[in-house]
Amino acid sequence: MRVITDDYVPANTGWGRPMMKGQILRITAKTIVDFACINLNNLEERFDQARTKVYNMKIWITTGDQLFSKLNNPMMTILEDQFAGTGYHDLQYGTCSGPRFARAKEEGRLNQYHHGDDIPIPDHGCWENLIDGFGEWGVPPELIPSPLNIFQHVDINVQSGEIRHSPNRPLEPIYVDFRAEMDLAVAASACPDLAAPNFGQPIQATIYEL
Amino acid sequence: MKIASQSTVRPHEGWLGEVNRGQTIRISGKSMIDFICFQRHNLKEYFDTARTRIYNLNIFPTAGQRLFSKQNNPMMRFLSDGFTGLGTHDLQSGHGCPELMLDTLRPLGSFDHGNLPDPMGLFRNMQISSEGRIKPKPKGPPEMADIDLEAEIDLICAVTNCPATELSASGANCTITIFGS
Repeated sequence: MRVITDDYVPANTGWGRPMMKGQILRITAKTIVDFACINLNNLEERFDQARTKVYNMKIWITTGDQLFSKLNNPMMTILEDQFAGTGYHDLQYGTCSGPRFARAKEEGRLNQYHHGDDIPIPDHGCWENLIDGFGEWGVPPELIPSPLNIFQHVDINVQSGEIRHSPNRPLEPIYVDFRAEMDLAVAASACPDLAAPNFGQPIQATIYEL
Repeated sequence: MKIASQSTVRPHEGWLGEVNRGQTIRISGKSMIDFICFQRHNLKEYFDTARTRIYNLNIFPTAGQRLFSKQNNPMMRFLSDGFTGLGTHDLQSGHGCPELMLDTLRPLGSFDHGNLPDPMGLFRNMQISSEGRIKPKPKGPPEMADIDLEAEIDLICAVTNCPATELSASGANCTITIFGS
C-alpha cells in the first residue's frame, strides 16, 4: 500500500482532493462524514443519490456496491465497509447547513433532529464544508450533490416512511474504502453531527494505491 | 374555488406552467407522473428530494407535508393526496424519463442531464424492504386520483405523464388544474 495523501480534517471543516482511477480513498472516522465526488474530466458529472439507489436497487449501500453519477456512470466501488453489521450509511439526508440549523431552531424542532433543545447551533455545516472541499473545482452551492452520509445511521420505518435520527455511530474510528472507477475530485465534510454522543469529531482522509 | 386554467397532458407528454403564491395546482392522474418546481425568480432554487424528506422526516411525500428547496426554503404545501391508502409517491428514484422532462423544460433554457433536479414521482408506489431493497411495484390508483399542492412562493412547475414506458401503470391522460388567482 502506497500512500499518496493522508489528511487530518478538523471537526466541521471540509476537505477535497483529486484522485485517479484505480486509487483508493479511505475515510476513517467515528462520526458522520458527508461525502461526494465529481468527474475530474467533466465537472458537470456529479455523484447522485437517486442513481446510486436505483442502480444498486437499495437505499443502503455497503461493500461491493457502487456510487453512481447523475449521468449513470459508476464513479466508485466500496471495497470495505467496517460499519457493516453495526449501522448503515445514509442516502436520504441532504447536508446540514447554517440555514438548516437556524430553521430547525426557529421552528423549535432541534430536538426532533436529535440535536437537543438548548445546545448552541453552528453557523455552518456540511453544505458549506463541501462547497469548501470542492472549492478548487468551483461547484456552485445549488449543485453540491446530496451526499453519501458515511456513518450516519438513520432508522427508517419502511411502511410509514418515518425517518428517525439515531445516535448509532462507530465507538472508535473505523474506515470505509472506496476505489475510484474514474478520475475524480472527491470532497468530504467532518460533520458537526449534533446527534452524535460527542458531537462532531475530526476525520482522516487517506488516498492510496495497492 | 375559481379555476385559473386547466390542461390535459397526454401520455408521454409534459406540462410547464406558472403557479402563483397562494394558488393550488391539482394534478389528476392514474399513471406515473414526475413533478418538479422552481422558484420563479431564481431557477437555481429548485425542489429538492433530500431537503423535502428531512424537513418532513419521512421518505414518502403525502398530505400535511411541505415541499422544500435545495436552499432549505418552503416551496409548496401538500394539501391533499387522493393516493392515500392505495400506494405511495416516491422521492428515491430520479426521473423515469429525463429526456421528456428536459424537453418540457426547454423554454427555461438552462437544464441538461447533469443539473436536472430529481422529481417527486407521483403514483410510483416504490416498495422498500426492511433490509432497504427497492422494488418497483407500479400500481396506479384504479380511478383518477387528485394531488393538491399549494404554492407558498411564485413557482414554475413541470409535470411529465407516465414517463417510464416499461413500467407504466396505464396510458391515461393527466389533468392539470390551477385554482385561485
